[in-house]
Amino acid sequence: MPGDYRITKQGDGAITIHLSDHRDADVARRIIDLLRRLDEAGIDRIADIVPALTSVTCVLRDDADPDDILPQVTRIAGGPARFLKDLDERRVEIPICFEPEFQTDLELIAREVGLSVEDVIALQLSADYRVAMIGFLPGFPYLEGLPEQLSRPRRPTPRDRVPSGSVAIAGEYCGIYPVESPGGWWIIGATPLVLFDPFSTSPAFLSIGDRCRFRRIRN
Amino acid sequence: MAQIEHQGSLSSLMRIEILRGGLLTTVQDRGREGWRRYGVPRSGALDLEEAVRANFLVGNDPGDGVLEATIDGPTLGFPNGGLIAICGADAVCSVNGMNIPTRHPVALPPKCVLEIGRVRSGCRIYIAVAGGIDVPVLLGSRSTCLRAGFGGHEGRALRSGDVLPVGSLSSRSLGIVNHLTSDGGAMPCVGNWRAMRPGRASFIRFFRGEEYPLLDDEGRGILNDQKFVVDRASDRMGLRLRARPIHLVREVSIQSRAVLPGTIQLPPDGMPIILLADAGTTGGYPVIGYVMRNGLSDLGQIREGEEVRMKDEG
Repeated sequence: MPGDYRITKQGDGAITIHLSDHRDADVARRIIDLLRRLDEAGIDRIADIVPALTSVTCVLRDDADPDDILPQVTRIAGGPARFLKDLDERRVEIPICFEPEFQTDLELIAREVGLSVEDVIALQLSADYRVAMIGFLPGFPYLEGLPEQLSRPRRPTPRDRVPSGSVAIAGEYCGIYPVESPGGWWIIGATPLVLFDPFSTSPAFLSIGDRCRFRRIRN
Repeated sequence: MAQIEHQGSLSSLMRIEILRGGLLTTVQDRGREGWRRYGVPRSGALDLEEAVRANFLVGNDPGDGVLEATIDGPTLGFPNGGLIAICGADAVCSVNGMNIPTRHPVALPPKCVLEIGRVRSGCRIYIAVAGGIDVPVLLGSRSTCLRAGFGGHEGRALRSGDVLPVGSLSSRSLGIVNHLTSDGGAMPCVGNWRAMRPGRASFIRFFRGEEYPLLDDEGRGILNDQKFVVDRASDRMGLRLRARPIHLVREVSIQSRAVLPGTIQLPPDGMPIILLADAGTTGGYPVIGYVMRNGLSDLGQIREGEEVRMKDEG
């Protein structure tokens, strides 16, 4: 129901506002709206604000206590949404290469869903994605909008090394590895896009709420 | 004269040479806040209290860069000398072959070699140098984010051949150096004041997490009564605890949400994980608890093979 929320403490270090138990487009918009309103409030004792799939967490400064901010956060959580009509979603195109040396799991997936590799590629390119969350690694986007046929549980055993730039799928999400890392997602292609640059004043290329489509490139 | 000369050499371009890297030595400070929405963890010294103590002993600001060494410490060269202090886990440390005490400020002569040995108990050693380890600040911190390979010194563990810049000394640091070298005696000069070390708690105290109510009776019993052994897969991202598997009364599907250092997750295998400073910023595992913040620093001294016990604070 719009406007519903639940507040919990995370030990003595954080407060989380839960908007829902499940995720849908309405929850997605409310998360972004809530994040904006919390940012705008500029609560001094908050060290960091972390949006996730159905909740937003306020991390306390080391010297602050959850009770210090609980009344103000409660007020904001229960307050009216202000940015729902003005989400200003950025549209981004992500180049993706499906050449054989990058297609590590593409053939396996194609076989298992009973499609040709080109059909799977077409599905990926047809999808209209949105960044639901950034987590797991700096700059790693959880893109929702994965075509249902491609949805699959993560690998039973993770790879020790997933190459940097790998585009991969697991659960209902498509993700991109900004750096080389161990990982349990199924790799379908690769992007040359730099997703995370710690030397930049805007270190992450993608933010929550960005709309993305993939564009095929050949090497 | 000797004192003024010494002051001059300590204020000039100072550096540390890594002669031997040790098992896992990285540059850390108090970590970086404000970037978790981009998946950037806080990182920073795992035993934050000891890192701050070491900085204090040499007259640094609490957030200045230090070296965090793990289990087997590094060998460091100080071509221009330096004022140092070593806190954290207990280890034998020597300068040019001569033992020096930890937890005291020590003024080192030029061209000396500091050898940090193997820990006798605990896990992590903090080496502070007056002026601070002056690597570039990235996203507000000098801490190393090992998972993404940035920050600290080139985003990685230190190794032989690395050279680290040292910042300029504060007036506090210069005062300490003057005091230590005032009688003109041979260096290294050891300050006779020592940082106290509070005892480590015998339990890891935690508050209950969202999925704690779903623990079955046996699971609750295991969590509160069993000794857990720290698994070899533990690192700066988390402590993996082994005992009898802990189960929830039913399967639960959780929408990924923010996690913090100190979050106690229960993965499918029933072996709890206590997340630490380098852990990913979001997670979808059930959360059964949160370590009390004043116990977080102690987690940085727990090593593989140790036994720990948990205490439910409600």
